[in-house]
Amino acid sequence: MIMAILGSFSSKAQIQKVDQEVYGMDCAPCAYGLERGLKKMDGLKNVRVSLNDGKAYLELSENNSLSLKLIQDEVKRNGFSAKKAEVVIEGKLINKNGSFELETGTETYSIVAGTSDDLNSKLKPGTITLKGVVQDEGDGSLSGTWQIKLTGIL
Amino acid sequence: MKRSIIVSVFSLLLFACTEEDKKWAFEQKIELPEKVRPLALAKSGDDLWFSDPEQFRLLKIDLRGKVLDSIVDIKRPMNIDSDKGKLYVPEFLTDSIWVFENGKKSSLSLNAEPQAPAGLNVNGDTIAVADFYNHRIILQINGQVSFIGKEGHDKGELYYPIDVKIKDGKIYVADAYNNRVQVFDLKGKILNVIGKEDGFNVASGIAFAKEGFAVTDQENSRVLIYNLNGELQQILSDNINYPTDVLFDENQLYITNFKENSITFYTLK
Repeated sequence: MIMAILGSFSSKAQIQKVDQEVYGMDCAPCAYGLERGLKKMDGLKNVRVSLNDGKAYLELSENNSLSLKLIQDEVKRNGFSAKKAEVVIEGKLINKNGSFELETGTETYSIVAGTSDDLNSKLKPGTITLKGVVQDEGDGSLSGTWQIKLTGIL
Repeated sequence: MKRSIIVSVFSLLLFACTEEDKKWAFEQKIELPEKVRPLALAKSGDDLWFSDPEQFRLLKIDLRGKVLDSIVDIKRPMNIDSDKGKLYVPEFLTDSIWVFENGKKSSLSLNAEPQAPAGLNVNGDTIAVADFYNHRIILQINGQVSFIGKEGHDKGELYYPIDVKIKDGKIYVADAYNNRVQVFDLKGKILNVIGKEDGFNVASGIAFAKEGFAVTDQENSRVLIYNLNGELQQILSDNINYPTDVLFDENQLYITNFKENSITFYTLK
Protein backbone atom coordinates (compact mmCIF):
# COMPACT_ATOMS: atom_id res chain seq x y z
CA MET A 1 0.00 0.00 0.00
CA ILE A 2 2.86 2.37 0.88
CA MET A 3 4.54 1.56 -2.42
CA ALA A 4 1.26 2.27 -4.26
CA ILE A 5 0.97 5.67 -2.53
CA LEU A 6 4.60 6.49 -3.26
CA GLY A 7 4.09 5.36 -6.82
CA SER A 8 1.09 7.63 -7.24
CA PHE A 9 3.18 10.66 -6.28
CA SER A 10 5.90 9.97 -8.81
CA SER A 11 5.76 12.48 -11.64
CA LYS A 12 4.73 11.21 -15.04
CA ALA A 13 7.52 11.13 -17.63
CA GLN A 14 6.80 13.68 -20.32
CA ILE A 15 8.09 16.30 -22.71
CA GLN A 16 7.68 19.81 -21.32
CA LYS A 17 9.02 21.99 -24.10
CA VAL A 18 10.06 21.61 -27.73
CA ASP A 19 11.74 24.15 -30.01
CA GLN A 20 11.42 22.28 -33.28
CA GLU A 21 13.36 23.32 -36.36
CA VAL A 22 11.11 23.11 -39.39
CA TYR A 23 12.53 23.08 -42.87
CA GLY A 24 10.54 24.68 -45.68
CA MET A 25 8.56 27.37 -43.86
CA ASP A 26 8.62 30.14 -46.43
CA CYS A 27 5.00 30.62 -47.36
CA ALA A 28 2.95 32.42 -44.70
CA PRO A 29 -0.38 30.54 -45.00
CA CYS A 30 1.48 27.23 -45.16
CA ALA A 31 3.50 27.95 -42.00
CA TYR A 32 0.53 29.31 -40.09
CA GLY A 33 -1.41 26.28 -41.28
CA LEU A 34 1.15 24.17 -39.44
CA GLU A 35 0.50 26.30 -36.38
CA ARG A 36 -3.23 25.62 -36.71
CA GLY A 37 -2.53 21.89 -37.01
CA LEU A 38 -0.22 21.79 -33.99
CA LYS A 39 -2.69 23.79 -31.87
CA LYS A 40 -5.27 21.04 -32.37
CA MET A 41 -3.07 18.42 -30.72
CA ASP A 42 -4.07 17.42 -27.21
CA GLY A 43 -1.53 18.26 -24.56
CA LEU A 44 -0.24 21.58 -25.88
CA LYS A 45 -0.38 24.71 -23.74
CA ASN A 46 1.09 27.11 -26.27
CA VAL A 47 2.26 26.93 -29.88
CA ARG A 48 3.89 29.51 -32.06
CA VAL A 49 5.74 29.18 -35.36
CA SER A 50 8.33 31.67 -36.45
CA LEU A 51 9.25 32.08 -40.09
CA ASN A 52 12.12 34.30 -39.07
CA ASP A 53 13.59 31.56 -36.87
CA GLY A 54 12.42 28.60 -38.96
CA LYS A 55 11.05 26.97 -35.81
CA ALA A 56 7.89 25.89 -34.09
CA TYR A 57 7.91 26.67 -30.36
CA LEU A 58 5.77 24.36 -28.27
CA GLU A 59 4.99 24.45 -24.55
CA LEU A 60 3.31 21.28 -23.40
CA SER A 61 0.70 20.94 -20.68
CA GLU A 62 1.26 19.08 -17.46
CA ASN A 63 0.47 15.39 -17.71
CA ASN A 64 0.47 15.48 -21.50
CA SER A 65 0.93 12.26 -23.38
CA LEU A 66 2.58 13.73 -26.43
CA SER A 67 5.74 12.31 -27.93
CA LEU A 68 8.36 13.93 -30.12
CA LYS A 69 7.39 11.46 -32.83
CA LEU A 70 3.77 12.65 -32.77
CA ILE A 71 4.89 16.25 -33.03
CA GLN A 72 7.25 15.55 -35.89
CA ASP A 73 4.58 13.45 -37.62
CA GLU A 74 2.29 16.51 -37.52
CA VAL A 75 5.03 18.66 -39.02
CA LYS A 76 5.48 16.13 -41.80
CA ARG A 77 1.72 15.85 -42.34
CA ASN A 78 1.62 19.58 -43.02
CA GLY A 79 4.19 19.24 -45.77
CA PHE A 80 7.35 20.27 -43.90
CA SER A 81 10.49 18.52 -42.69
CA ALA A 82 11.24 18.39 -38.98
CA LYS A 83 14.90 18.88 -38.27
CA LYS A 84 16.67 19.00 -34.91
CA ALA A 85 14.74 19.88 -31.78
CA GLU A 86 15.71 21.47 -28.48
CA VAL A 87 13.71 19.76 -25.79
CA VAL A 88 13.06 19.76 -22.07
CA ILE A 89 12.02 16.30 -20.93
CA GLU A 90 11.22 14.72 -17.62
CA GLY A 91 11.83 11.01 -17.59
CA LYS A 92 13.51 8.04 -16.00
CA LEU A 93 17.26 7.94 -16.49
CA ILE A 94 18.70 4.46 -16.68
CA ASN A 95 22.24 3.27 -17.10
CA LYS A 96 22.46 0.84 -19.93
CA ASN A 97 25.83 -0.82 -20.39
CA GLY A 98 27.67 2.30 -19.29
CA SER A 99 25.58 4.73 -21.32
CA PHE A 100 22.59 6.67 -20.08
CA GLU A 101 19.15 6.59 -21.62
CA LEU A 102 16.14 8.71 -20.70
CA GLU A 103 12.85 6.91 -20.94
CA THR A 104 9.43 8.54 -21.03
CA GLY A 105 7.37 5.41 -21.40
CA THR A 106 6.70 6.03 -25.07
CA GLU A 107 10.15 7.12 -26.25
CA THR A 108 13.81 6.59 -25.47
CA TYR A 109 16.50 9.27 -25.63
CA SER A 110 20.11 8.03 -25.67
CA ILE A 111 22.61 10.50 -24.26
CA VAL A 112 25.27 10.83 -26.92
CA ALA A 113 28.93 11.68 -26.94
CA GLY A 114 29.30 15.42 -27.19
CA THR A 115 27.51 16.00 -23.93
CA SER A 116 29.95 17.83 -21.67
CA ASP A 117 31.93 15.86 -19.11
CA ASP A 118 30.58 18.15 -16.43
CA LEU A 119 26.99 17.21 -17.27
CA ASN A 120 27.83 13.56 -17.74
CA SER A 121 29.35 13.43 -14.29
CA LYS A 122 26.07 14.64 -12.74
CA LEU A 123 23.90 11.96 -14.31
CA LYS A 124 22.47 9.40 -11.92
CA PRO A 125 19.74 6.84 -12.49
CA GLY A 126 16.30 8.00 -11.44
CA THR A 127 13.71 10.61 -12.34
CA ILE A 128 15.29 13.64 -13.87
CA THR A 129 14.48 16.66 -16.06
CA LEU A 130 16.94 17.23 -18.85
CA LYS A 131 17.44 19.82 -21.54
CA GLY A 132 19.15 18.96 -24.78
CA VAL A 133 19.25 18.88 -28.55
CA VAL A 134 17.73 15.90 -30.28
CA GLN A 135 19.54 14.98 -33.44
CA ASP A 136 17.71 15.22 -36.72
CA GLU A 137 16.20 11.95 -37.89
CA GLY A 138 15.19 11.50 -41.51
CA ASP A 139 11.47 12.05 -41.94
CA GLY A 140 11.02 8.43 -42.92
CA SER A 141 12.76 7.23 -39.78
CA LEU A 142 10.64 8.59 -36.96
CA SER A 143 10.87 5.57 -34.68
CA GLY A 144 10.54 7.06 -31.20
CA THR A 145 14.16 6.27 -30.38
CA TRP A 146 16.28 9.38 -30.32
CA GLN A 147 19.78 10.60 -29.64
CA ILE A 148 20.14 13.65 -27.44
CA LYS A 149 23.09 15.86 -26.66
CA LEU A 150 22.49 17.34 -23.23
CA THR A 151 22.79 21.05 -22.58
CA GLY A 152 21.47 21.15 -19.04
CA ILE A 153 20.01 19.34 -16.05
CA LEU A 154 17.00 21.16 -14.55
CA MET B 1 10.52 78.99 -90.59
CA LYS B 2 12.41 75.74 -91.03
CA ARG B 3 13.36 75.81 -87.37
CA SER B 4 9.77 76.29 -86.22
CA ILE B 5 8.65 73.37 -88.40
CA ILE B 6 11.32 71.15 -86.85
CA VAL B 7 10.33 72.21 -83.34
CA SER B 8 6.66 71.55 -84.08
CA VAL B 9 7.35 68.08 -85.51
CA PHE B 10 9.54 67.22 -82.52
CA SER B 11 6.87 68.37 -80.08
CA LEU B 12 4.22 66.30 -81.86
CA LEU B 13 6.40 63.20 -81.66
CA LEU B 14 7.12 63.79 -78.00
CA PHE B 15 3.46 64.14 -77.04
CA ALA B 16 2.44 61.23 -79.22
CA CYS B 17 3.75 58.87 -76.52
CA THR B 18 0.65 57.19 -75.11
CA GLU B 19 0.00 55.53 -71.78
CA GLU B 20 0.54 52.24 -73.60
CA ASP B 21 4.18 53.16 -74.23
CA LYS B 22 4.83 53.74 -70.55
CA LYS B 23 6.49 51.02 -68.55
CA TRP B 24 6.83 50.32 -64.85
CA ALA B 25 10.30 51.15 -63.55
CA PHE B 26 11.85 50.59 -60.14
CA GLU B 27 11.80 53.76 -58.08
CA GLN B 28 12.72 53.05 -54.48
CA LYS B 29 12.67 50.65 -51.59
CA ILE B 30 10.92 51.61 -48.37
CA GLU B 31 12.95 50.13 -45.51
CA LEU B 32 10.89 48.91 -42.58
CA PRO B 33 11.83 48.18 -38.96
CA GLU B 34 13.97 45.11 -38.40
CA LYS B 35 12.20 41.73 -38.16
CA VAL B 36 9.08 43.05 -39.90
CA ARG B 37 7.68 40.74 -42.56
CA PRO B 38 5.23 42.73 -44.71
CA LEU B 39 2.61 40.38 -46.11
CA ALA B 40 -0.19 42.53 -47.56
CA LEU B 41 -1.03 46.18 -48.19
CA ALA B 42 -3.98 48.54 -47.92
CA LYS B 43 -4.14 52.27 -48.56
CA SER B 44 -5.08 54.75 -45.89
CA GLY B 45 -5.12 58.30 -47.24
CA ASP B 46 -1.50 59.11 -48.09
CA ASP B 47 -0.20 56.32 -45.87
CA LEU B 48 0.00 52.55 -46.08
CA TRP B 49 -1.19 49.82 -43.74
CA PHE B 50 0.46 46.43 -44.01
CA SER B 51 -0.05 43.15 -42.22
CA ASP B 52 2.90 41.67 -40.32
CA PRO B 53 1.66 38.20 -39.34
CA GLU B 54 5.03 37.20 -37.85
CA GLN B 55 4.53 39.83 -35.16
CA PHE B 56 0.73 39.42 -34.89
CA ARG B 57 0.04 43.00 -35.95
CA LEU B 58 -0.64 45.60 -38.59
CA LEU B 59 1.55 48.66 -39.02
CA LYS B 60 0.72 51.97 -40.64
CA ILE B 61 3.65 53.74 -42.28
CA ASP B 62 4.32 56.86 -44.29
CA LEU B 63 6.14 56.57 -47.59
CA ARG B 64 9.49 56.95 -45.90
CA GLY B 65 8.81 53.89 -43.77
CA LYS B 66 8.15 55.75 -40.55
CA VAL B 67 5.70 53.86 -38.35
CA LEU B 68 2.64 55.99 -37.63
CA ASP B 69 0.26 53.56 -35.97
CA SER B 70 -0.23 49.90 -35.16
CA ILE B 71 -2.93 47.34 -34.48
CA VAL B 72 -1.65 44.49 -32.31
CA ASP B 73 -2.80 41.08 -31.06
CA ILE B 74 -4.14 39.94 -34.41
CA LYS B 75 -3.67 36.19 -34.67
CA ARG B 76 -1.88 36.08 -38.02
CA PRO B 77 -3.39 38.88 -40.13
CA MET B 78 -3.33 37.99 -43.81
CA ASN B 79 -4.31 39.87 -47.02
CA ILE B 80 -6.03 43.00 -45.74
CA ASP B 81 -8.32 45.41 -47.58
CA SER B 82 -9.69 48.91 -47.14
CA ASP B 83 -12.96 50.40 -48.32
CA LYS B 84 -14.53 53.76 -47.44
CA GLY B 85 -12.30 54.41 -44.45
CA LYS B 86 -12.61 50.93 -42.98
CA LEU B 87 -9.80 48.43 -42.69
CA TYR B 88 -10.68 44.73 -43.12
CA VAL B 89 -8.38 42.15 -41.56
CA PRO B 90 -8.69 38.37 -42.03
CA GLU B 91 -7.35 36.57 -38.94
CA PHE B 92 -5.96 33.29 -40.19
CA LEU B 93 -5.79 31.39 -36.90
CA THR B 94 -9.32 32.12 -35.71
CA ASP B 95 -11.24 32.17 -39.01
CA SER B 96 -12.43 35.66 -38.13
CA ILE B 97 -12.51 38.85 -40.18
CA TRP B 98 -12.19 42.09 -38.26
CA VAL B 99 -13.26 45.59 -39.25
CA PHE B 100 -11.37 48.59 -37.89
CA GLU B 101 -12.85 52.07 -38.14
CA ASN B 102 -11.93 55.15 -36.14
CA GLY B 103 -9.98 53.06 -33.66
CA LYS B 104 -12.85 50.64 -33.04
CA LYS B 105 -12.86 46.93 -33.81
CA SER B 106 -15.88 44.92 -34.87
CA SER B 107 -16.54 41.61 -36.54
CA LEU B 108 -17.41 41.51 -40.23
CA SER B 109 -20.91 40.25 -40.74
CA LEU B 110 -20.34 37.27 -43.01
CA ASN B 111 -23.05 34.64 -43.42
CA ALA B 112 -20.60 31.80 -44.00
CA GLU B 113 -17.68 30.36 -42.08
CA PRO B 114 -14.32 30.39 -43.79
CA GLN B 115 -11.62 27.94 -42.84
CA ALA B 116 -8.52 30.12 -42.68
CA PRO B 117 -9.48 33.33 -44.51
CA ALA B 118 -6.42 34.36 -46.51
CA GLY B 119 -7.68 37.49 -48.27
CA LEU B 120 -10.75 39.52 -49.02
CA ASN B 121 -12.11 42.43 -51.05
CA VAL B 122 -14.94 44.67 -49.93
CA ASN B 123 -16.78 46.85 -52.40
CA GLY B 124 -19.80 48.40 -50.70
CA ASP B 125 -22.30 45.61 -50.09
CA THR B 126 -20.25 43.07 -52.02
CA ILE B 127 -17.69 41.02 -50.12
CA ALA B 128 -15.44 38.31 -51.52
CA VAL B 129 -13.31 36.15 -49.21
CA ALA B 130 -10.53 33.75 -50.24
CA ASP B 131 -11.39 30.71 -48.12
CA PHE B 132 -7.98 29.01 -48.11
CA TYR B 133 -8.60 25.54 -46.71
CA ASN B 134 -12.02 25.23 -48.35
CA HIS B 135 -10.52 26.05 -51.75
CA ARG B 136 -13.30 28.46 -52.59
CA ILE B 137 -14.40 32.06 -52.65
CA ILE B 138 -17.21 33.15 -50.34
CA LEU B 139 -19.21 35.83 -52.17
CA GLN B 140 -21.71 37.87 -50.18
CA ILE B 141 -23.88 40.44 -51.96
CA ASN B 142 -26.32 42.37 -49.79
CA GLY B 143 -26.15 39.62 -47.23
CA GLN B 144 -26.80 36.78 -49.70
CA VAL B 145 -24.01 34.21 -49.76
CA SER B 146 -22.83 32.01 -52.59
CA PHE B 147 -19.65 30.03 -53.13
CA ILE B 148 -17.31 30.04 -56.10
CA GLY B 149 -14.99 27.16 -56.89
CA LYS B 150 -14.15 23.87 -55.23
CA GLU B 151 -10.92 22.00 -54.58
CA GLY B 152 -9.17 20.93 -57.74
CA HIS B 153 -6.90 21.79 -60.61
CA ASP B 154 -9.30 21.95 -63.53
CA LYS B 155 -10.72 25.11 -65.02
CA GLY B 156 -13.07 26.70 -62.50
CA GLU B 157 -11.54 24.80 -59.57
CA LEU B 158 -9.29 26.34 -56.98
CA TYR B 159 -6.32 25.12 -54.96
CA TYR B 160 -5.50 27.16 -51.88
CA PRO B 161 -6.64 30.58 -53.10
CA ILE B 162 -4.88 33.40 -51.28
CA ASP B 163 -6.31 36.64 -52.68
CA VAL B 164 -9.42 37.91 -54.44
CA LYS B 165 -10.50 41.16 -56.10
CA ILE B 166 -13.84 42.38 -57.42
CA LYS B 167 -13.61 44.46 -60.60
CA ASP B 168 -16.39 45.54 -62.95
CA GLY B 169 -18.73 42.78 -61.84
CA LYS B 170 -16.09 40.06 -62.08
CA ILE B 171 -14.22 38.11 -59.43
CA TYR B 172 -10.47 37.73 -59.92
CA VAL B 173 -8.94 34.97 -57.81
CA ALA B 174 -5.25 34.49 -57.02
CA ASP B 175 -5.48 30.70 -57.42
CA ALA B 176 -2.15 30.43 -55.66
CA TYR B 177 -1.19 26.77 -55.83
CA ASN B 178 -2.68 26.25 -59.29
CA ASN B 179 -0.21 28.97 -60.32
CA ARG B 180 -2.77 31.10 -62.13
CA VAL B 181 -5.47 33.71 -61.86
CA GLN B 182 -9.05 32.74 -62.57
CA VAL B 183 -11.86 35.14 -63.44
CA PHE B 184 -15.49 34.40 -62.57
CA ASP B 185 -18.75 36.26 -62.97
CA LEU B 186 -20.90 36.98 -59.93
CA LYS B 187 -22.80 33.76 -60.46
CA GLY B 188 -19.59 31.73 -60.29
CA LYS B 189 -19.26 31.01 -63.98
CA ILE B 190 -15.64 30.77 -65.09
CA LEU B 191 -14.79 33.47 -67.61
CA ASN B 192 -11.03 33.31 -68.03
CA VAL B 193 -7.88 31.59 -66.83
CA ILE B 194 -4.82 33.84 -66.83
CA GLY B 195 -1.14 33.12 -66.45
CA LYS B 196 -1.01 29.42 -67.36
CA GLU B 197 1.79 30.05 -69.85
CA ASP B 198 3.59 32.64 -67.78
CA GLY B 199 5.52 30.37 -65.43
CA PHE B 200 3.89 31.31 -62.15
CA ASN B 201 5.06 29.63 -58.98
CA VAL B 202 2.42 30.60 -56.41
CA ALA B 203 0.22 33.45 -57.61
CA SER B 204 -0.46 35.04 -54.26
CA GLY B 205 -1.65 38.67 -54.60
CA ILE B 206 -3.70 40.76 -57.05
CA ALA B 207 -4.22 44.50 -57.38
CA PHE B 208 -6.02 46.59 -59.99
CA ALA B 209 -5.11 49.82 -61.73
CA LYS B 210 -7.33 51.64 -64.21
CA GLU B 211 -5.99 49.81 -67.26
CA GLY B 212 -4.99 46.47 -65.88
CA PHE B 213 -3.81 44.47 -62.92
CA ALA B 214 -0.71 43.09 -61.24
CA VAL B 215 -0.16 39.61 -59.85
CA THR B 216 2.62 38.52 -57.51
CA ASP B 217 4.64 35.49 -58.59
CA GLN B 218 5.79 34.71 -55.08
CA GLU B 219 8.38 31.95 -55.41
CA ASN B 220 9.93 33.46 -58.55
CA SER B 221 10.20 36.93 -56.97
CA ARG B 222 8.38 38.60 -59.86
CA VAL B 223 5.32 40.73 -60.42
CA LEU B 224 3.40 40.29 -63.68
CA ILE B 225 1.40 43.13 -65.20
CA TYR B 226 -1.65 42.34 -67.34
CA ASN B 227 -4.17 44.44 -69.25
CA LEU B 228 -7.87 43.96 -68.54
CA ASN B 229 -8.06 41.26 -71.23
CA GLY B 230 -5.53 39.19 -69.29
CA GLU B 231 -2.72 39.80 -71.81
CA LEU B 232 0.73 40.00 -70.29
CA GLN B 233 2.23 43.46 -70.61
CA GLN B 234 5.34 43.48 -68.45
CA ILE B 235 7.29 41.37 -65.97
CA LEU B 236 8.92 43.13 -63.00
CA SER B 237 11.78 41.60 -61.04
CA ASP B 238 14.20 44.36 -59.96
CA ASN B 239 14.46 44.69 -56.20
CA ILE B 240 11.64 42.24 -55.60
CA ASN B 241 12.11 39.51 -53.00
CA TYR B 242 9.31 36.98 -52.46
CA PRO B 243 6.40 39.33 -53.21
CA THR B 244 3.16 38.45 -51.46
CA ASP B 245 1.00 41.45 -52.32
CA VAL B 246 0.77 44.49 -54.58
CA LEU B 247 -1.09 47.80 -54.40
CA PHE B 248 -1.61 50.50 -57.02
CA ASP B 249 -1.87 54.15 -56.17
CA GLU B 250 -2.26 56.17 -59.39
CA ASN B 251 1.12 55.90 -61.13
CA GLN B 252 2.78 54.04 -58.30
CA LEU B 253 2.89 50.33 -57.59
CA TYR B 254 3.81 49.01 -54.14
CA ILE B 255 5.13 45.49 -53.68
CA THR B 256 5.72 43.67 -50.39
CA ASN B 257 9.04 41.87 -50.03
CA PHE B 258 8.01 39.18 -47.55
CA LYS B 259 11.48 37.72 -47.14
CA GLU B 260 12.97 41.03 -46.17
CA ASN B 261 11.79 44.03 -44.23
CA SER B 262 10.98 46.32 -47.15
CA ILE B 263 8.36 47.46 -49.61
CA THR B 264 9.45 48.17 -53.15
CA PHE B 265 7.77 50.76 -55.27
CA TYR B 266 7.72 51.24 -58.99
CA THR B 267 6.46 54.19 -61.00
CA LEU B 268 4.95 54.29 -64.46
CA LYS B 269 7.33 56.11 -66.82
